[in-house]
Amino acid sequence: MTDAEVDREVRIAIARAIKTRGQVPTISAVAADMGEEVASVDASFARMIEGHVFLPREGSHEIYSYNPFCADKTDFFVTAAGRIWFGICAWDALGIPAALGTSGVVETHCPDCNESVVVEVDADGATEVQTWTVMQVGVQARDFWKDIYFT
Amino acid sequence: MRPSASTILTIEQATGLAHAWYKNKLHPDWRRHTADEAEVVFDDLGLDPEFWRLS
Repeated sequence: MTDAEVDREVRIAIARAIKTRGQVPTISAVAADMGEEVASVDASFARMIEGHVFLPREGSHEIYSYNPFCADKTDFFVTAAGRIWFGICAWDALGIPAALGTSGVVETHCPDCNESVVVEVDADGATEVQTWTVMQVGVQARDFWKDIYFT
Repeated sequence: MRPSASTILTIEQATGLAHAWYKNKLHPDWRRHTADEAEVVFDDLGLDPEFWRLS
């Protein structure tokens, strides 16, 4: 297989792990699922990092966020498809139901007053009008990847 | 890096952006948006073109 074909199969394995196990998989888990060598999957992960397919753990090829799905717990959590999911930011959390093709409830806290913020999202991305809820983006789009961990 | 600017999205714009951005992420043939495709998404949602310009 070409690198592109391997990367496609790896992305399919990652997606399957997320949808069926509710987990962002490690390199070794993907390799086991595919029956591939860890080194081959590690190389694929490295190419995907270079292509901004996902956000790695710092100093590693392991996935921190296969955006919108964060591997770790965060303050942006989502109830969808019978599971709890986490996003690294509001944008990603709101995208989790979309990626799963279902509706969901996104919950977080106001970083200023700590008040709970709850947004229900339909499978098509529609939501009830809430004039009291907004999303602030603090980095211009052209600069998102200059320091993605800050973004 | 410090933020050079910031912008505010209504919740409808935010959910629309998230849906457009991620609805295909788990599909086998997913690929990143090109800059031109992304700017169409931003424009369709009525986002500030200066803030959201990629090119």
